Amino acid sequence: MLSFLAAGYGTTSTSLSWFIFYMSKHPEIQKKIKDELSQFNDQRFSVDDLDSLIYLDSVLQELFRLVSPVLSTVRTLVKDDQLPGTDAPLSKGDSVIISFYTIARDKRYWSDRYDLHGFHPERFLDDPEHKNNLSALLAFGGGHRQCMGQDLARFELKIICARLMQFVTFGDGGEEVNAGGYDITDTNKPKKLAVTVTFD
Amino acid sequence: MNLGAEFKRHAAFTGPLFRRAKLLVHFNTILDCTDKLLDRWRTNYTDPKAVHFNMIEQSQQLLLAVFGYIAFDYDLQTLDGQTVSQPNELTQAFYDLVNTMQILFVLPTWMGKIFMRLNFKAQRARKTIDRYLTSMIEQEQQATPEMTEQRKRTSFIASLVTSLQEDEQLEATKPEEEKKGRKTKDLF
Repeated sequence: MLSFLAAGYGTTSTSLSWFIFYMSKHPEIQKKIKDELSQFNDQRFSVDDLDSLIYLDSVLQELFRLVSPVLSTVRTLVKDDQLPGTDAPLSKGDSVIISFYTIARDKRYWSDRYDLHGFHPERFLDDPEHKNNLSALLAFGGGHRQCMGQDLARFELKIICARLMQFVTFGDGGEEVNAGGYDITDTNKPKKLAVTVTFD
Repeated sequence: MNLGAEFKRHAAFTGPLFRRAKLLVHFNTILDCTDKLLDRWRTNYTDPKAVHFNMIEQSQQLLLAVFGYIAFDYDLQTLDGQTVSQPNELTQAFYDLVNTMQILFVLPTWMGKIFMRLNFKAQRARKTIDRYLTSMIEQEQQATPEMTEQRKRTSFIASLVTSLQEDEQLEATKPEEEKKGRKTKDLF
């Protein structure tokens, strides 16, 4: 129970903190989310309404790509194998670290239209040549041991972000105090986060 | 750590609860919790120029409240206080415990034991968390079997309680691949 409670809230709350950080840095993205939400006129939206928010989806995908709360995962080999490319031998029982952080920034897997180190939700909407390999979006891991709570995390986060954006605008609290950076403890949290909160 | 067959046994009970179709019933809960946070901000954050440094804490309190309702059907009351400056008891306890764990990971076991024994902050945190977990289990035990049966498809803790092995001794004699259900000690 303890691990579920810790895993169930820590990762998603970290993503929410990163959402607030990037909103404070990108007023233009905030405005686009608000435009998409304006059809509901501050009313409560339904599940179908939520599903229709395509731009917000791309914002959350970009959030998971650029700052996944968990940076890597480990898999244990069930039989002998070798690394592709170098043919370095791996034995059964070895543990292999898969870095979400590097794969999310690896030019081989992403379109070059947008900087891979920047926050650009548009990369998920504007990819006519299908150069983005979505398998490289690994925030929840993959295979039969991928994150059990990922549907819950996506669902929660989208509802919360949509509701906050209906009423509130986050502003940059200052270059020094709102500098971001990584504070890696149980999850990868923003190191310096300071924002203004304005009700629209 | 859960390996192979044991992992599958645990996943068979908990996995289906978190699929999207099962989550739709929690839609209003999540919205209500978010509205509570917004109300709190509306009361306290009246100056649009004021810079707030507590967004991580605020995010944690919101998600902890949501997760308490969804998984354990329990009101953790992290959003009840109107003050935004004071850290919530439970989120603080989690923070303290996690920080200690980071240090424990790099210490040899014997040193870890001494470190834990001398670390009053972590012990206090663990006590606080255990107090919350115990209240959750007590509340669940008061539910009638009919209620639990009805809720086990949506509530995590109800599913855990009904997933307990009826005869733990009999199950223990089977090979790992044939075991069904969970042991009571698995729950914590």
